[in-house]
Amino acid sequence: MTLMRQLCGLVILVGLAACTSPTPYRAATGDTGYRDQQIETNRFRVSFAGNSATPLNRVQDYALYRAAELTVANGYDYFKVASRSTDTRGGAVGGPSIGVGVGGGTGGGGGGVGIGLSSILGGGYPQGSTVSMDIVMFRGEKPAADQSAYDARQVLKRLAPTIEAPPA
Amino acid sequence: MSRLSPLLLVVLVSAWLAGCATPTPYKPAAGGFGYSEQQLENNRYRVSFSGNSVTRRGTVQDYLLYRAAELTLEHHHDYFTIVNQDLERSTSYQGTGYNNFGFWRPGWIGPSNYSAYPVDSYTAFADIVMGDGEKPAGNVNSFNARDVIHWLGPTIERPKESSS
Repeated sequence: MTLMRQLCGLVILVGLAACTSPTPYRAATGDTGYRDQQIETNRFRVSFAGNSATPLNRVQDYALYRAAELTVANGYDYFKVASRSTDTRGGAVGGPSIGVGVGGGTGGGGGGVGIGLSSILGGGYPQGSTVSMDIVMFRGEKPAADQSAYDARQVLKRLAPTIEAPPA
Repeated sequence: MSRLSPLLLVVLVSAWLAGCATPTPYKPAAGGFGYSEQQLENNRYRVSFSGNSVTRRGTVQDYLLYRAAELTLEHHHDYFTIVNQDLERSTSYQGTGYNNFGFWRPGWIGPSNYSAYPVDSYTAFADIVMGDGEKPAGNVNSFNARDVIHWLGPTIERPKESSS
């Protein structure tokens, strides 16, 4: 009789740990990196978007670094943060994983082998944090009493060691 | 319909995705996406811009500022000061992909791909007060309306003129 003579199933599940590395300091390509938009002669909106492997403090540092860089590049000395917002997006699915299932079965006069490959890639949409700042730039000494004012060159100097350039 | 070819399905899904892949242009909301305003006092307005799910957050903020500047000039003022602002994010989940095994009955080999992903859309709000003459130098929340129009103007995308 041609009942199921054989039924074997083999399922291999390989869960790969997230191999995402933190977003380096670079202009936005796709969803991550920095962006700037000039709004007035001395006002820009600067933002830095990090991927899910980039900690929020690094995202904040990189946004500030970009603000300082723009300030100096435009011939100013200090900037004031007029407004700042942080947007954090949690991962709705778990880390990236790849599952491979191999199953085989024969019976009923027919035979079949199925190979299923499924992937659940967590990186398919933006995850992580974005810090966006509206900055106004000025020349001269920053007002000592104004805590929203940052000396651009000092920021560049202090944050420079944390800046990770994209791999060449 | 159960024999719908997987290829056709892929084509249909891509066509559907492409259909809603246009960011909200700069236009009055009219109940949907776009800008709107509410006058609160003689020289105070609440302005908002609402973008669809493929409109970047920065774009929503730019268009809001552009509208604020436009309103300021329309009312013969020179600058505006943002006294209060807000950004609202709404998230919905969309499924995408196809399942070969479900549609292709013999189902002996082929990929299956289905996933749900979050889709964010943003609305920005600002209460603005309009003023005349030079903007106050000490207030970082004051914007020169003409300056804003000058810098943001090139980024503004207006609706494509359809045959009307």
